[in-house]
Amino acid sequence: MNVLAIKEVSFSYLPSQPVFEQINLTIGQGRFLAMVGPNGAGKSTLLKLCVGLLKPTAGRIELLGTPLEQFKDWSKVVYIAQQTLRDRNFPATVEEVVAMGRVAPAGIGNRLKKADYDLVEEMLITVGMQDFRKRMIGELSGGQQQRVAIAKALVAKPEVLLLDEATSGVDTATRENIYSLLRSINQAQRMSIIMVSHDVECISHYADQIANVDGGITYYGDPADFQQFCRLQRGSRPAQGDWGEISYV
Amino acid sequence: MFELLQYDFMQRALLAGILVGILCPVIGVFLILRRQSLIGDGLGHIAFAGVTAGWLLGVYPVLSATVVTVLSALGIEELRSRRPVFADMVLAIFFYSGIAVAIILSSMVKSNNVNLISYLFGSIVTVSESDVQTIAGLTVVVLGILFFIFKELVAVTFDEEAARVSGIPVKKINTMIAVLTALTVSVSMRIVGILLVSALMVIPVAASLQLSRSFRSTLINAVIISEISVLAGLVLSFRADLATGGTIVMTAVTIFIGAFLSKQLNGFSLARMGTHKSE
Repeated sequence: MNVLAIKEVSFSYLPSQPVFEQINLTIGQGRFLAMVGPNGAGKSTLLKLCVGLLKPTAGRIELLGTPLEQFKDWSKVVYIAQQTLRDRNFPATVEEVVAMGRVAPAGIGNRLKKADYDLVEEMLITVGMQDFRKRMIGELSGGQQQRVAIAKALVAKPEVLLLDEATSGVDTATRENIYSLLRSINQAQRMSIIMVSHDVECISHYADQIANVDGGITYYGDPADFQQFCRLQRGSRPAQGDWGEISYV
Repeated sequence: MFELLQYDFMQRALLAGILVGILCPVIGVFLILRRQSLIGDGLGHIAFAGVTAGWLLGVYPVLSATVVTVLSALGIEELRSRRPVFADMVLAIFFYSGIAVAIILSSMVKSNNVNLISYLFGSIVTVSESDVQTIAGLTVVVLGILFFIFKELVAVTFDEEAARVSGIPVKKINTMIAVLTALTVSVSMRIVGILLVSALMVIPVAASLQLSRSFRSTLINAVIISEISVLAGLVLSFRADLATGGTIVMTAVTIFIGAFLSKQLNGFSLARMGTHKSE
């Protein structure tokens, strides 16, 4: 089964300026897809369309086999925005933030139970943040906050995890750590991951599929072949490393 | 302190004050973190229109104020959700309309305006038995609803987009917080007054944010600071014959200044310790 199917989807913020037109993309279960592309190409917009935060101007999107308008099983989907912490002064500990991931599965009016908090502890260990559980979220570094955001996503036990630039503003070593963590989660739990990234070269070592978004889907396939695609695209233009002009870092 | 309880009006004021002291910061935590600190102020001015309307129509003013503020809160929330960029402008329009209507209606009230002024500034001597009953009833309702949706409210306040995607009914939660704010304003105006009702929602929370190290402790400390402010303010206003609302709010402001300075001094000491260690 496809976890996500984008069928003939068009979208524009202003009628005269389409972000993309009639794009198609399907993502199979258990895949780790990286959406790459230049700034302003519409990667984040496409991700927001996939989770219903924006509505397409044409076409349709299916999530876990159900059209988005009829999709009700939101506990199976988790979205991590580009800016995981909107307010550095938000007075919450790491533990409290991760527990927020159990709010929707628990249901309105129900308190979180011991099993929920056990899961919070388990996921803090998974992302290596167990020693920070009582720290205030705003006191952590960007990379640590991303790990907390991933733990918050994992406690919901989703089938699909969508991340928008999960590694923006962190150094290369932290970025590789986060990609590696996501890859191990993807392989251990067969969780489908769709991730927007600027870092083509690095993410290609971890994702098993690449979609290049640039006014449409200009490439969709293996990371290894994407390197060849980049060389062909580059043509006679000056090279910028192995990835040529499609190195969006 | 105990001789104050000999007076019936003081017993009523203390009971109403304790209830308001719990309610205001509990709702205020969410307003501050949602960057809606001034909504209580706006709704307070709208509540005054409701009070004057009730006075003219011969309806219990707290009831008419409750109806008007709840309807206005629903209107503000609907417009805010449609045009988030203009949220402060929407609030300002409701705010000015409320005060304008209140001025017009109060000019039409033929009887003396002393009681209307008690709504504006708060007064312990005018808190009636029915006020206490209304305040108690609305406090139970508001706290009950807050308890029911508490964890969803925290999640929506922390990250509205992620909450929406996870299936939490964000629009309903936002509407509920608007209604609860309106009810809190209506409940609190008899004690602190319409002009200062927002202060009791904001200042104890602002003070608590200086001292607390988790969401849970922020909430608990805010309620403690609010109760100290209300009780100390009530006693002080009785002893020194000062305006109740102003005394309560200035007590809270004093606590806030103390908490703020304490945080700054702590930060300074830690920075110095760090410097010594690195030396």
